[in-house]
Amino acid sequence: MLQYLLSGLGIGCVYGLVALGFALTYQAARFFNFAHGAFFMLGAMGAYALVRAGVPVGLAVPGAALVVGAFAVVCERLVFRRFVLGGQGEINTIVVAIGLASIIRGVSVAVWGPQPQSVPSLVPGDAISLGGAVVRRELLVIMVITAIVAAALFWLLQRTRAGVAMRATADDLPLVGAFGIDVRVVLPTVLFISGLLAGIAGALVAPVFKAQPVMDVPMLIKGLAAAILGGLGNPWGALVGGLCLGVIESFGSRYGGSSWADVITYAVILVMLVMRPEGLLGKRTLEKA
Amino acid sequence: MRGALVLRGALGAAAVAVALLVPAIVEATAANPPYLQQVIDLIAIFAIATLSLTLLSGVAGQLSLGQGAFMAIGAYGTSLLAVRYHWPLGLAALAACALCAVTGVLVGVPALRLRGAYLVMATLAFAGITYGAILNWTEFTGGPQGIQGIPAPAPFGTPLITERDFYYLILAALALALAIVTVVRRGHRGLRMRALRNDELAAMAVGVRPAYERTAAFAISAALAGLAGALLSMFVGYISPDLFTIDQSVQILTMALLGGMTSVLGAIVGAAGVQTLAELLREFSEYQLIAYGAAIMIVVILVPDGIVGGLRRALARLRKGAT
Repeated sequence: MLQYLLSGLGIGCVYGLVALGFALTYQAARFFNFAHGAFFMLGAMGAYALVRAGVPVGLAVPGAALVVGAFAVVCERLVFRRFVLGGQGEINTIVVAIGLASIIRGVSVAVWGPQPQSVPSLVPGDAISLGGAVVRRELLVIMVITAIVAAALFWLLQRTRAGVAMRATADDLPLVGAFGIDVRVVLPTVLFISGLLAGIAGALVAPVFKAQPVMDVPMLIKGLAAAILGGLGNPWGALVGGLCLGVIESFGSRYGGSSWADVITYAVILVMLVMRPEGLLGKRTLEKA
Repeated sequence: MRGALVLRGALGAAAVAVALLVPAIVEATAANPPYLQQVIDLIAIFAIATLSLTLLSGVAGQLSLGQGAFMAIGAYGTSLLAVRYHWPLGLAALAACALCAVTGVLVGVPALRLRGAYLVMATLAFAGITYGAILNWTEFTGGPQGIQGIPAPAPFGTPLITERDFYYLILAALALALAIVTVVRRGHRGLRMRALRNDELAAMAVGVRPAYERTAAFAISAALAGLAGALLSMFVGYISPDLFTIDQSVQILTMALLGGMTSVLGAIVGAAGVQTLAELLREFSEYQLIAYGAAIMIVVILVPDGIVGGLRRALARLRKGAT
């Protein structure tokens, strides 16, 4: 039991990090970033590329995350901004992000090849035994880093002016402008943090599952499911949703076989959307058009 | 006005003539006629799938990433009924389309509460569940191996074997699909659906029932996608889950966007464009992805109403300049 709980929580942290970035862009700009899975994949591939170039693993992980964050800012400037601020409607924004994700995956395959690449572990060594359960060291590192990142983000969002600006833009974009907050500064900042989170998640997972370009869409869907489960309007909900999804999947594959894990994820999305679209932690609001 | 009508009729007649003559033209000009004919057959099948999205999104305003799943239900329904239960193929295909319509209602009713991005995610989840089910329910669907030995249709007694024979069957189905979408679009139902898309409150005020119209759109659209799936299974003779991944739904969306969803022609143009790209880049799947992505982004940024919509606007501008 403990075994499944711990491995579920470990992978749940990854889902949570991805979902956190997804929920941040949604909260700041009602922007569903369907290229978020591609950012995650770039984090994993970036870690692989840096390690292969001779960078030590300990530096490759934050390095890859920073590169993805910077790349997300470029995407915001060149592609997303005109859609998010131009009032183009969320459908076009989603579609353009799908197109961008497709290009990112294609370029990644062209550069690194389609096959899975292994990345050395941050913490080499045998799995640790904890109260009867055996846990891989990488998963423990992921849990610790997730906790640190979440704490830093909490401080940023709740205690700093920039964080308040990020949360305020979601409520009323024009009004926020009247208070002297420049949306053209807030949006790249949010995208940077969002890309950074996806990049960290990707770089941390690379040693566990190997890095490959096709990991983008599955993780996008996990992130979506986690964010919807926790409540899209609430980043902390996304983190909790990720942890829940990880545990649900872990126990689901224990009883139903691992091949049904994806079906469980999709079922979670569908059930939540239909029964409780505001998520577990979300406030009940009227969603109009 | 009268001149325009005559011109439209003449253009329509010419299009029908060209469509009927395609196999002869292919035979006469192509270096490898069976291959080119096969590509054209696939284009026509995917045009039907794209029409299902033209109806759902272009007319009723509901974007779906689940059309690939309805294709899967059409294909698996036809194949299982024909291969395992030995139903006549035509009846199997008809039953599969009906099953799709029912599934469309089952998806459409709970989706009534969802709009925009939430609907996209719900249909995406439906597509994922369908894919997972056909992949994992091995005893029933054959799992990753899929279903083999789907018989060739024989509408006039002799089975259709060549790509050329198949073309006429697919063309007939495409004509039917075009007719259905045109009738819905031009008729009262289409008017009500468009009214709902543009302003739900105003539409309700004049007596349009949103739940009814939206569910109807889902059912008809699902049946059309199912028809495309049924044709695909008969044409290929073998189906497996990897034909119906999320990517398939994204590809149908790409076709619809590329051609444009403001007219039924857009579905054909979009299917032809994407399928041609896919054939040209067959050996290089990574460049195929880049080309798809670039096509989507260029269209959404530069011509949001697709190639056909863009051409129409250009024509209208020319005409204005001439008078």
